[in-house]
Amino acid sequence: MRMRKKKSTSEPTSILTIPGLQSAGWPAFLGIAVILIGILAFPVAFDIRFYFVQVGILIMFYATLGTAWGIVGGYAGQHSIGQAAFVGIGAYTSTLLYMKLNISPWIGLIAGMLLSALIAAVIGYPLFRYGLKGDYFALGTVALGLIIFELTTSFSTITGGSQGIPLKYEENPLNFQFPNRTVYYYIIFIMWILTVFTSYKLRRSRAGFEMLAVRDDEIAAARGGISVLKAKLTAFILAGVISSAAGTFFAQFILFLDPGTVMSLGISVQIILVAVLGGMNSYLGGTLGAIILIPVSQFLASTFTERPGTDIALYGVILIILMLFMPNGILGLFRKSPKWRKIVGW
Amino acid sequence: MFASVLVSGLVLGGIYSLVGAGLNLIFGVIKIINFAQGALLMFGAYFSYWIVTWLGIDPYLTLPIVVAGMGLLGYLIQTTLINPVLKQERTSQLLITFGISLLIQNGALALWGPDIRFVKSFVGYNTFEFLGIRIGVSAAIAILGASIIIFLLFVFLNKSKMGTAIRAVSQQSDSALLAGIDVKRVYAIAFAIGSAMVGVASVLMIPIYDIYPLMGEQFGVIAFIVVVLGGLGNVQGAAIAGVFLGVTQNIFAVYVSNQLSVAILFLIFLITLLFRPQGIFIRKMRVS
Repeated sequence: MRMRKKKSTSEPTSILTIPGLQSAGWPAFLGIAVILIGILAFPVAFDIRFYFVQVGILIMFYATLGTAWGIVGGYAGQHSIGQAAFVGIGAYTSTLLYMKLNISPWIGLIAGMLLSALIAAVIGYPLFRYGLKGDYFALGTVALGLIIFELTTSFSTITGGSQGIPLKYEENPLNFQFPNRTVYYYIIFIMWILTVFTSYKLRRSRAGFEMLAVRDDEIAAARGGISVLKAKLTAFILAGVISSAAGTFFAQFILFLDPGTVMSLGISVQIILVAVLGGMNSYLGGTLGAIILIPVSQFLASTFTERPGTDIALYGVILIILMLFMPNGILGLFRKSPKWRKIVGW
Repeated sequence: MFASVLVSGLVLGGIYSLVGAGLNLIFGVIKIINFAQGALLMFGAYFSYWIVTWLGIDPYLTLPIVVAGMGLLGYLIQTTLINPVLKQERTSQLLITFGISLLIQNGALALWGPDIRFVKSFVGYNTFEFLGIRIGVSAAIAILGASIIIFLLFVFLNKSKMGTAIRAVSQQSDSALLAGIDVKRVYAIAFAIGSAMVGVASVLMIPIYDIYPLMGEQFGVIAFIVVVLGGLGNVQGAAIAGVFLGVTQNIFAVYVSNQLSVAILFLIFLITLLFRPQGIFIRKMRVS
């Protein structure tokens, strides 16, 4: 009797606590520790060419974006096709503040995130309200991606247009610029780990469960007292804010900005592919997808320099094949096993 | 001046109408958004271009071949790629058409290069005077051709047996199946028609517009705006909305700002989504 009573009082919280990594025990934690130390030691431990550090940076950059996309595309089931718009907003906000008003990109990072949140809310609200179907959202985000691209290209007096805008280089950590470029590796590492941690925690929080409920059955979720609009908007804003932060980082890293490099449709495609390949419902999906896809894309881009377009055409083939035969991605293969399911957080 | 702006706006609008009505037919019947619509337009234009180059015939004469070829392509896309994933989540269908679009568009870029190509029709740049307005013959053919095709589509959907089956499937695919309609075949035919209409649009536009691998991108995205403005699934609405957007864009481009003329369409799109997400016409989710 006592046991039973205890169980019933703790029930409201226990519904929301699913076994996560803890249940996997020490092997999982040991594994995570080894991997993290390996990633941290990678640029300094071996005498490697900076090129490989750069690939590592790109992998973590896309892992961050893919994980963020997983929140809106995987958890909430709203497929944002123009996610690169937020990367562009982050990159251009910090850069323009820095170049025109001499405001530190660290402040620009925050400003970009706030602007992205605002734009995500303004665009997301009409697309999500009245229970409009997901199709509207996909259409709306395509339009958003293109409108931001067109506006950036058109207002060339401010943004440099399609010519691009070079960032001035002043070595000063307060300006997000460092004497040693390996520092960027550690900055994106922190961004990536924070994003994965956010995604993991979100999946196990009330807000995360609400997103899943909305994704799986919108009407039932609404009947269950969940605010569908709020769940979708939260996911969209969160993904936009993270993407924007990554965009600021990217602008500082490459020190040159034009609409094509930060917000072309190709970037949006890459983000989606990374998330879908890894498994967009898992907090690790974006990371796994980036580890596989980014080296491949680097290879393809350098192999087919004479025939531009070949690499993206191949992405198209990969995307079609993935959707036909493995729509849940690589981590989706683990969802049948109860033990692995907890670890990958499906 | 204004009259000629209006005419070129009508040409653009006719193309938008054909592409948008095709997209909306596909959406209304199969309930998928075909992201490849713009890429198919580009493909149709290259298809026609290569026939013209190899056979040396007039671009307008390629119409039957291009329409048949594009229809077949649409049929094959539906039967081989979309039908297998109909039962899966909508993501799969959405991302598959997106993948097709990437493949076609960038495949064209890789195979044929980024060069701008053009074809010359026997009508050339001849013009004629109509009600005191100078009109290009190719522009007149485009406007007339688009109107005829939209009218034929309307007649087909409302008067023929297959058209009735398509409308039935678009309204209630389960009941249509119970009534003995081969729903998957209707899906394939709807996709084929949507794709064939893009073929018509591409043949009508190539004597006027340049041909290059990214030419379809803008049309594909604007087709979405056409569809939202006309109401998702409303083929007639899309046809009217297409003309409206083409004319608006052209007037804006000439009198206000050429650079921002595409942005104004997105503004219209966002305003529509805010205030009338079901489209500006009353009937919705209906084919025809």
